[in-house]
Parts: sequence; structure tokens; C-alpha cells
Amino acid sequence: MTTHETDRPADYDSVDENDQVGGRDDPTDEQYDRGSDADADEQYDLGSDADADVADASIREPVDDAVDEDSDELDDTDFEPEAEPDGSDPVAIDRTPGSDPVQKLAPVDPETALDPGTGRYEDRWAAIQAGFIDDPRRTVESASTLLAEVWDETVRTLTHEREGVDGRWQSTESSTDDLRVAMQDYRDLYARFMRFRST
Amino acid sequence: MTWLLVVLAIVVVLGIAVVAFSQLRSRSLKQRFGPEYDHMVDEQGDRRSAEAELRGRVKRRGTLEIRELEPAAREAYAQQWLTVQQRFIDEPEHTVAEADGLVQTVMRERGYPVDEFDERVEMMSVDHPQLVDNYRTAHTIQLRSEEQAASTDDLREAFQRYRALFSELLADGADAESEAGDEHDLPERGAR
Repeated sequence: MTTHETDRPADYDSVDENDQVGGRDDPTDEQYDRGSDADADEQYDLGSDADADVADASIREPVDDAVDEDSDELDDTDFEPEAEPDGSDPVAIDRTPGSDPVQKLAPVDPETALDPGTGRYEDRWAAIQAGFIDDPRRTVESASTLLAEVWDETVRTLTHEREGVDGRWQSTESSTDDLRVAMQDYRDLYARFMRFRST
Repeated sequence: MTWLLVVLAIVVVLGIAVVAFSQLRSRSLKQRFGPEYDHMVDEQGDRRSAEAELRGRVKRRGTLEIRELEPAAREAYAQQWLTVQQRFIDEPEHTVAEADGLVQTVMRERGYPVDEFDERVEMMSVDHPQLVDNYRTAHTIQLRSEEQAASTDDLREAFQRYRALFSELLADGADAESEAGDEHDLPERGAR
């Protein structure tokens, strides 16, 4: 339905690998920043995935194979290649496997979750929410930013979809069946939009 | 005349030895307990009974068999903690109480006596002296919250302080064993 679909699997993978990286586990800033800017645009497409069900997808299910429980393992494989070459990140290097779960409890920097590379929206939101204990104001700022991001993205995607349907029937050569299909598409969009309004 | 000098010399040497010994003992307690040492001196009013109390704690701690948590248990507790932490914004008072509960659960699982708060503090002061103050402050705030006298920010602070202790309780294991070894040494050194 849209142009984004082809790239998607690659995006997903990169998101997965980064899942949780800066999110909760690591108190160092260097880790958090990595890749954020370069990836930002790509990641944005995350939510416009599956135009078939955008509103839901962007909020609930952009990535279905992220594995929360394994975040520590993901971290290890992720961190070490980066941290070791220059030895600039003693925290990542010093972490012993045994103390890993405890690292989860280290104070969370709420802004880290604003990096789209840190995973699914729900994980990013959870990371932000956990950060309230350590820095309420910045946590609320981050929540506001993340909400605005999801919000804008959703509106953008819905608009994009609506315009897509517009283009499919307005030609004078449209058959009755084109119009029928357009009518169906509008009905679906309408239903999704109304669901939004009601919650 | 000479035997008088000899006796005098012996008395002086003994005196010096006694003073040196008690200073050594004080210093080792001080080193071990850090701020808790001063806290006890303040609380007890004098050094001697403060030190007796601290030595008593070390002795009691020596009778406990403190276990290390299994990695899976560690992981599970950390996850549980995070879940509670995320709910703070919905029920601050309740989550602080839950945090306290989790601290106690882990203490019990590791082999500490948990029935009385004072008992818990005493054992924590032996194994984690630098965190005892966190524990006391958090507890005080929690008591105030039961009378609705704690602000949200107080509760947040209490939660943070419980977390400091909780992380420590989860983290230490293998190294706690070696510390326990030292603890056994200390009272004996004092008795000799």
C-alpha cells in the first residue's frame, strides 16, 4: 500500500538489536547516544509500517519479535564490540555477568528512551516511567516528547493513508468497483479514526 | 631498688599495650562501620558502649549463614523491582511499602533475620554500613506516609533509598562470603 514496506525488515532488525540498549541498563551517556541521529528518519518509518493497521501498529505492535527477557544477553553482545576497542567505557567492560540484573536497577536517564534506537514505543515508555524515581521533571519532559512523537507520527500516517485512498478513485476512469473498494478503505479509516476519538 | 624499676617498667609497658590494643580495636571498628560508628557513639552517648554494641552485632552476624542468590532469582527480583518502580506514579505510598517488602523478602531469602526493623538495621550495618542510613531514612519516611504525612517527593526519596539497599542485597554474593570471613575474625581478634 505504501512505499515504505520494502525497507521494513532491515529497519526492524536494527531496532531489535538496539532494543533496550540505552533503555534501562546502562548509566553511561555514550551508550545512549549512539546511532540516534543517523537512524532517526529510518526509525520514524517504524510506525508507518503495515499501513494496513497504522494506528495500532505504531503504538502496540511495530516489532513482534523483541524479547524483553533476554535484554541482558542482547546488551552483552551489543556492548562489548563497541566498548572494548578504545576502552573508553569502563562501565560496560567492568560489568560481570552476575551483576547484570542489578544493572537494571541503576538510575535511568529518561532522555535515553527518546532515542528511537532504544526499541518499541512501549519499552521506551516503560523506561521513561521508571525514571520518575530519579528525575521527575526530566521524566515528564521526556514523556511529553515521546507522546508528541507518537502523536505526530500517527497523524502523519493516517493522513498519508487517506490521501492514498483519495488517489485511487478520483480519476474519471474509475470503475464502480474501484469506487466500491475506495468506499471500503474509507470505511476502515473512518472506523479507526473514530476509535481514536472515543478513547 | 632495681626490682621496683622492673615492676614499674612492666606496668608501663602493660599500660601502653592496653591503650594501644583498645585504640587498634576502635580503629578497626571505625573503619568497618564508617558513619555507623559515629551514629552509634551519638546514640549511645559514649564510645565504650557504642563499641560494645557494634562488636555484639558483628558477633551475631557471625552466627548467620548468609546465602548468595541464584542468578535466576536475582533476575526475577530485579524485574519485580522495576515493575513496582514503574507503578510509583500511580500509587506512591503503596509502592514504597512494596519496596520495603521486597527488601525484606530478599533479606529473608539470603538468610538475615527480618522480624524486627532494628534487627534488620543491625545486620545491614554489619554487611552494608554505608547503606544503613538510607535504610533508616526510608523507613522513617514510610512511617510518616502511613499517617499521610509524607509528600510525594519524600516518598520518591524513600523509594530511591530502598533501591540502593535492594541493589546491594541483590548484587553481593561471592564477595559477601569473603567479608563474612573477616567478620568472624574480628571478634576473635578482640578477645585475644
